[in-house]
Amino acid sequence: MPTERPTLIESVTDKAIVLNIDGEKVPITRDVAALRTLLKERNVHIIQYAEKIYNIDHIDEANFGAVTRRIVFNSILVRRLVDDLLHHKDEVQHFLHNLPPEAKQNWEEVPEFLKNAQSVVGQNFVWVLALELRRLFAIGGDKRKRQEEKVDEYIDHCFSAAKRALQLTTFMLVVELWEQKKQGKEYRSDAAQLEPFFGTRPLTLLEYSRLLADLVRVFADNNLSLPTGLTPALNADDPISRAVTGLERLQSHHTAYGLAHCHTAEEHLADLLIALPLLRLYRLVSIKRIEYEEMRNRAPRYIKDFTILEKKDEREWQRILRFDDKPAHSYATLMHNRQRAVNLFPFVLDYHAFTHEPVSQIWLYECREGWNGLRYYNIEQEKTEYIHFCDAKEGTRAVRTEEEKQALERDVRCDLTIRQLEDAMNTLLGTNHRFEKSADHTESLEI
Amino acid sequence: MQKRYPFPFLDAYRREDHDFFFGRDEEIETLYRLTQQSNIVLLYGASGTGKTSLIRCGLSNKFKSYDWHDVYIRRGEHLIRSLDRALCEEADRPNTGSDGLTIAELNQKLEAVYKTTFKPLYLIFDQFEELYTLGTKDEQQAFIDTVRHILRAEQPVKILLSIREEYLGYLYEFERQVPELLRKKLRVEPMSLDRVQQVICGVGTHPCSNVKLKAGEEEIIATRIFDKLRDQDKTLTIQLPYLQVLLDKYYLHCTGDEKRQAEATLSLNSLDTLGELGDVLRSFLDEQVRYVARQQELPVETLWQLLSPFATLDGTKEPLSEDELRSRLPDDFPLHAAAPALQAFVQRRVLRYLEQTARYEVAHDALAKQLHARRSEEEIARLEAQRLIRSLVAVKPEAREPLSVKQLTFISEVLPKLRLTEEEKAWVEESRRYREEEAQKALAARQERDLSIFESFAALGKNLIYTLDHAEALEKMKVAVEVDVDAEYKRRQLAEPIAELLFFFAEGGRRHRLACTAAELLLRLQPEAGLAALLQECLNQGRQTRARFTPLLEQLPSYSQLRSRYYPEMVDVPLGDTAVFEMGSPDSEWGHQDDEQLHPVQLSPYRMAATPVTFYQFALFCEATDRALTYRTPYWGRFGDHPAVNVSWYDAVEYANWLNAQQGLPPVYTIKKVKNSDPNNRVDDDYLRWEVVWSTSAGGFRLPTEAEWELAARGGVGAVRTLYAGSDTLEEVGWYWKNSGDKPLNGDWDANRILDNNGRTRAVKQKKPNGIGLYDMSGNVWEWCWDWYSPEYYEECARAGAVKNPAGPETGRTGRVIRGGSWRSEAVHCRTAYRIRFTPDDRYRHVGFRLVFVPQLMSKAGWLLLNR
Repeated sequence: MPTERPTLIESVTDKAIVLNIDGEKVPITRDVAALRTLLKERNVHIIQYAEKIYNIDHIDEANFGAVTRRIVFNSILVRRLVDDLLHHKDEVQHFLHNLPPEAKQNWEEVPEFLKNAQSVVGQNFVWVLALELRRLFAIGGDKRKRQEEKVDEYIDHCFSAAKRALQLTTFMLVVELWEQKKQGKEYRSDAAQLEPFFGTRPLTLLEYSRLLADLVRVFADNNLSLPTGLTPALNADDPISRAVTGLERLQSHHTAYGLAHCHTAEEHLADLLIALPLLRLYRLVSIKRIEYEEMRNRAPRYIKDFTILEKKDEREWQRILRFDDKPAHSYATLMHNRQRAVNLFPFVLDYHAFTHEPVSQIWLYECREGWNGLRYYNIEQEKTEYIHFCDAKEGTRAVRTEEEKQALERDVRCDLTIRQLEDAMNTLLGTNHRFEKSADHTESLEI
Repeated sequence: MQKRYPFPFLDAYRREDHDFFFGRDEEIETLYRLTQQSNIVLLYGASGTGKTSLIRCGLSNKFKSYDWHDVYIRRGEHLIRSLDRALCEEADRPNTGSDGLTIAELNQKLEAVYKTTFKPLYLIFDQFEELYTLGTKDEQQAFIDTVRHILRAEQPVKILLSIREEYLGYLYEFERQVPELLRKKLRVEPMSLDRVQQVICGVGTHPCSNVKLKAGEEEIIATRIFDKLRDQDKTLTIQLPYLQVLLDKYYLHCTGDEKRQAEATLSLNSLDTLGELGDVLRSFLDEQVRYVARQQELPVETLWQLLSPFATLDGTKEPLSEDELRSRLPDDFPLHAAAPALQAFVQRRVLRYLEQTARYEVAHDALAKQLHARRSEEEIARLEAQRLIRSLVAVKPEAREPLSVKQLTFISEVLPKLRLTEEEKAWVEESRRYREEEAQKALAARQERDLSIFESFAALGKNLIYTLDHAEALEKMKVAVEVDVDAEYKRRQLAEPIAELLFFFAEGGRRHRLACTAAELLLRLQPEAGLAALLQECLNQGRQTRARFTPLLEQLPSYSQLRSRYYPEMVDVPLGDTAVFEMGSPDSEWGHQDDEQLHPVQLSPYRMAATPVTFYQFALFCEATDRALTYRTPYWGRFGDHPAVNVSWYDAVEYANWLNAQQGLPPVYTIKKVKNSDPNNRVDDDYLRWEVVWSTSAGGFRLPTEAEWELAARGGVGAVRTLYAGSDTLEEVGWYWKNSGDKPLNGDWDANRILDNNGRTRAVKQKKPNGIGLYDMSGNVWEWCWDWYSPEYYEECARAGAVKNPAGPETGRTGRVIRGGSWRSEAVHCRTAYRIRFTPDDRYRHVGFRLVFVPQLMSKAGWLLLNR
């Protein structure tokens, strides 16, 4: 944290900046190079504009525009998402239309309008991203913390949001390929590209973006239809790669983050989310359980208990029971829109579906834990979770208590999850690996 | 690193106290898991288990700051208003102050709060029991509705309720309407030794804590503190407030630093110098009150009065604004001293000021419990009364219940000391008025009902006497005596019938217990002093013989009437100078029969009963001799003042003997109750033919001879001769077939018509008597005479000249004479001269008898009895 007394930016116009250096007012052109030169001459490292404090070393071309505006956290991200991604949405247009004329230009600088925009943005992303964005809004808007206290947390969640965006997209493509292959369709691909995905270490942002590019290429090469909202050609210059590279650079080179870094992270995250419009075109739906009913002289039917994680408008219910005669995948977590429903299981789990809790708890696949289990990320609790292969005996089992029943069901479902991932892995990599019960794993996971 | 004091005293641990919050990891983890599984979680436990700390510090620290927006809501003056105020404050909106939030308002406010922070909102209702200890039913229902709305709102909102476990039962209705309420719940356990060790050792070893434990003594210090706190009590747990107060006391004991900045090292030695603690919390409270009393120069008692309203009657804390407090203080409380004293108590950490609701409250429920324990019975009664009235007045007027009589009685003792609002006073007054009116109505209804019961039983009793079921009548009288009606009215209604029952059973001489019962009932009617004394004496002695009752009976106001009712009333038959009369009828008399030949007869003096023996009289005979009366009942019923019927000639002579005995006279007849023992009885139809020997020399009661009957019927010697007894017109003096039924009959005698017309006996003395006051000699019932019947007997007498005291033939072939006709007789048979006979052992529903009394040779005692 800077301890020296900051130099104040007194005013900013379209073309000029006026600095107050120890009482002396110094006007310069509104240009990052001019600012750097002046501060170097005066041996000043810290500047303050309104309530914002910056380290001059963190200011670059990418964030200079933000530094010289009356914005703090979230403003760039929300503005860009509204302008570039969501402008055609009714509620966004409604929001923009209702802005007073004097605020139409810089509405993101007015807290009230920014809040409204955040609310609209949050509602228009798939639940996982909506959660990450909500956290960014919460951290940015936290009045109980000073700027410098929340910078790290904020940037970390920019990384996290970016990773969830890449994970979800990647999962969709991996699942599609797995399905294709299970259906016996042959396509040209390089299994080695997917090996890290099934490895024992979580992929980095950059690795995810490369994998994503590879997968998109496979889809393109094999004339497979990409999910809506995903651009066919990804390369080193595409916006996704650029954004990820920018975030990766920020992540790997930082010693101490400043507010300027937040602006940079926001810019990159906005780039990424804008480049992945599918994240606002799908909803996440979890199937809690499917009951089967069959009676004499009646066709069998299924009762499906869905939980819709997003709340996109008032007419939709969070929980839906559907009665029909079509079987469905148990414990499915569906990326779903009107045209397509992709079951991301076992890469995305609603763990509470295993234990029949009405509230959802979403876990995202991270990597393998050797050949004994899988590592997941509990997105709500922000902690790593593990599923171990229990090799629970199925068939007919006597259970004495409700707890015993629940534990058995949970173990069976965890085994099922691992076997599903094993199948995906072997199918996609052309291998024949088997997960096994760990010698030291004797007890079930606690709920 | 800045060190700080690690103990929050009576406050809850907060999020920033995380470093010093030990011993609750497991519960925190469980609570966190529950919040992930449900949108509503219930936390319950005994007072002083640290529920609030578990949420404010433990749970709160499980969440990142961007995932946790906690809003703590206490009831204040109204839970919904407090919720509304809290949401408005969080959303920077003006507070509407509404008692009920509509769904739309609630959604808007929740959304507004969410948009303020973009964090999931945790609505934490701490001290939730206040809704039940202080809130109204309406408020409770409003809260349930609000919770249901919140759970359906699909906003990122979760609800945590923290409640003392003894109030869990109050959640029944809540759970009924919100079934998920109790699905995810956690019981917060009290502090065990293990946890106390974790707290003390954890704090003592934490680098930020200014309290240290002497190395090597950590666990033993914790154990000793635990033991000190549970004192003699061998429980396995303690309450947190006690631990906190003790640790604070211990710290001050070691450092003396009231600012709590000095570093302290706690050791076994210093712990020993702390001495015996007793009840730590009570001592703390006493000390603080004494301190503030000295500081404010106020009496200690005044300060207890000031603190008392902060505890409910259940020993929980009740937050109060200054105005509310003033309204609870006694009239003589120095109000100017209240504000400074409150401030002083806040400084001394006994009270806490709640900025949000501008109220004071005691720092912990455990202190409220101590305050409640100090209350006198009188104060508790006053507070209970106050609470009672408030709870009633809290309901809107149209649904308000008036205080019950029991409640009014209860509050009346403390009413002058209560501080009531005008509305409350008015409601007490209204309740009193309402209950008085209700009581009056109830009294009137009860009196009416009692009177009705009384009159029913009195009437039933009297009727049973009239129908000669005296034992059952006594039972009815017992009930009637018990009924609460006006005493004088009761006496007027019951004294006579009960006296009659007393007379009946006493004279009957057989069932003395019933006589005593009647005496007891009579005594309860508060008769005049003399009689009361005799009754009491009678009861004290438990009289066992008829004679012993006599002095008592003689004192009964109705004694003479009762005697004349139950014993025959005798009339002198005038004999003139010659005592001779013409018996029979002349040939010219209408209806004259051959066996009625006129002949002179001379009779000795005698008296004749004024009426035939009535059922009253015969019932007494039956009572005394333990005979059944039932089978004598004619088809129209059995009534006391009707002539006894269904009596045979043998019954009649037995009655005569009994009556003599009853009057202290020797028997007139010697009755040999052996079948066919009478050689003079040659009546074939007589089944019994007992030998009955008349001791003609003996005075007393007996059946009349035919001559005695006829002379009496004719009104004695010298009376004007009439066709019937006392008249030539039968209608005037007698009941016969034409007039004894429901309506008068005419034409020819017809047995069926008589039956159809309900022909029957009639009460005696309803027709005109003859010249000497004898009733019913003609008609009503045939009357047995002593004589055997012989159609030639008059002729034989006539041949013999003036016969003296004729008693009929020596033997009988056809039966004994009956005279006078009956209710079913033709007029001709009711003539005075008409003679007929019946078989002596036959019992007919139109045959009775009456007695004569012959004074000759009567003892002086007998005369006295007879003339009494």
